[in-house]
Amino acid sequence: MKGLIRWLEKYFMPIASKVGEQRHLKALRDGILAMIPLLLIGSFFLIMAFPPIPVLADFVAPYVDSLLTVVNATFNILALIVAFSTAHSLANSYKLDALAAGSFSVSVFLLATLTKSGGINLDLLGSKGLFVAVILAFLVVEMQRMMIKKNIVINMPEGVPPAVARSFVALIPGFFIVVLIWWINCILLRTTGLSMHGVINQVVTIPLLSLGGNIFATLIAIFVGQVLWCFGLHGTALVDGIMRPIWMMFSQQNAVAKAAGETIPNIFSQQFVETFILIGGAGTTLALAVLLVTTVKSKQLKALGKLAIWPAIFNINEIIIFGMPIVMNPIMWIPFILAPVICALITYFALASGLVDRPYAYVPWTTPALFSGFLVTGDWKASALQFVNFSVSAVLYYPFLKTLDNAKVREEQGSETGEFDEINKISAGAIDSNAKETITLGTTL
Amino acid sequence: MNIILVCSSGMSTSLLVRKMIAEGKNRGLKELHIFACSIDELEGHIDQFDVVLIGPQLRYREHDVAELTNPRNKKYAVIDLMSYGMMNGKKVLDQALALL
Repeated sequence: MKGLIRWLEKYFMPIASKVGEQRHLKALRDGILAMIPLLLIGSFFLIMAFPPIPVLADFVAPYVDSLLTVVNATFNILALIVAFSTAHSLANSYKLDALAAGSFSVSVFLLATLTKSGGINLDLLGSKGLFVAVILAFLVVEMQRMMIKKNIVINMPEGVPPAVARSFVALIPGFFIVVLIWWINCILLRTTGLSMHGVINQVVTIPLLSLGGNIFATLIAIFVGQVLWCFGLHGTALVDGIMRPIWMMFSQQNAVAKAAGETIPNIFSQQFVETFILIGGAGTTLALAVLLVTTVKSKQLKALGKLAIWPAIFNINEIIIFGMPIVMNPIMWIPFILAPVICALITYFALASGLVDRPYAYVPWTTPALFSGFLVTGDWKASALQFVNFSVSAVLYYPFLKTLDNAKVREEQGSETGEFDEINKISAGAIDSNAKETITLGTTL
Repeated sequence: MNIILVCSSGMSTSLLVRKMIAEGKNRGLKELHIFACSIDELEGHIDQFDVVLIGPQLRYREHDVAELTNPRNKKYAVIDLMSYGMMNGKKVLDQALALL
C-alpha cells in the first residue's frame, strides 16, 4: 500500500499538476466560469416561463415570449462571452494585453461566423458556437504572443507615455489576426460554402460531442474523478476541465430546445452529473453523511457526522473525504467509486426511457438534492430519482461504514486516550458555527 | 497577521476559516485576518496576505501557488489532511503561524 502511494505521488502528481496548471485548460475553465452567472439568470427566467405547476403555467402563459427574450440574451450569447473571457484569461497568463486580446477574439469570432450573404446566424452565438469561440480565442492569443515575441510591433520613441505605447503594441498583431481570419473565412465561403465557424463545427465539434455524449465517456469521466479523490486530489475539478465544456454545451442545447418548445435532445449534461450523481458531493456522499449521523457507534465517526451533515446537504463533502478519511482508506474506496457509477447508470436509464424528464434549467451546484432535481427538470419524478440514487448509495455505503465503525470502536475501547476527547471537543464547539456557516452559504448562493 | 486559504471554489475552506477565526479569538490574537477564495482568484488577493494555505485536494497545484508566493517572499503550505477533514481550526492556525 505504501509503495503504491509513493509511486502515485512520484509519477502521478506531476501529471495532475500539469493538467491543473496547463494555461489553456485554465483559460478554458475561466471562460466557462464567466458563463455561469448568465446561465443561472437565464435558467431563472426559463423556469419562470415554464413553471412546473399548471396553475402558474396558465398565469404566465401571456408573458412567455417576453420571458424568453431574457433566455435568448443569456443562453444564446454564451459563445460571445466565452470568446472574450477565454482570450482574456489566456492573455493574462502570458502577461499580454488581456483587454485587447478579449476584444480581438470577439471581433474575430463574429467575423468567422459571417455567412455568404454577410449575415450572422444568431444560433451560432450560443451553445453551438462554444468550441469555435474557444479555438479562435486560443488562436488569437497565440498569434498575439508569437508576434510580440518576434517583436513585430510598433515601438514608440522614448518620450511617448508608456500607456500610449502599450496601446500600440497590440495594434499590429490585432490587424494581422483580423486580416487572417477574414481571408480564411472568404476562402472557405468560396470553396465550401461554409463559414470558418461552420467548418470548425463539422471537423471538431461534432466528433467531440458524439464522443462525450455517450454513457461510456460519462462513466469513464466519473470513474476517473472518483479515483483521483481517493488519493485526495480534487477529481471533480480535474475532470471538469475536460468534460465541462462538452456537458455545458449539452445543457445549453437542452435549455434552448425547451425555450423553443421542442423536445429536449440530450440525456447527458452538466446537470446529469451535478444534480443526479454527485448528491452530497463527489462519491454521492450525502447518504454516507446521513448514515454517519444515524447509525455509527464510534465517537470519532459520530463527531465527524455532526460536522459533515450540514455542508453535505449543500453538496460540500471535503469534511468526509479528509475527515473519515476516504483518502488513502481502501475500505471506503469501493463504495465511494461504485456509488456514483451505479447512480449514473440508473439516471441514464431513467432519462433515456423517458421515465423522468430531461434537465434543461441550471441551478447552482450547492442547491440541495430534491429541490435541485425538481428545479432543473420541472418534473417531480426527478426528485424521486434523486431519492432513489440517494437510497442506493446508502445501501452501498452501509456495510463498509459498519466495518470501519467496528474497527474504530475497538480502537477507541483499546486506547481511551485524550486524543478522541480532543477531537470531540473541537467538533462540539464547531457544530454551532458550522450550522450558521452553511445557512449563510446557502442563502448567499 | 493575514492568512488566505485556497481551494477549488473557496467553499470548504470557508468553513475552516470560521474555525480558525474562533480559535484566534480564544487565543486573544489581535488583527487576525483570514479569508478563503478559489485558487484561480489568488493572484488578485495575495498582496494583502502574509501566508497562503492550500486545501489538500489542490496540492497538485502547489506549483501555481509557489509561482505567486516566491517573487513576493511569502510562504505557503498545504493543509494537513486530517486537520482539514476534521476542520481543526487550532491545528491549521498553528500551521499558519509556524510559517511566519
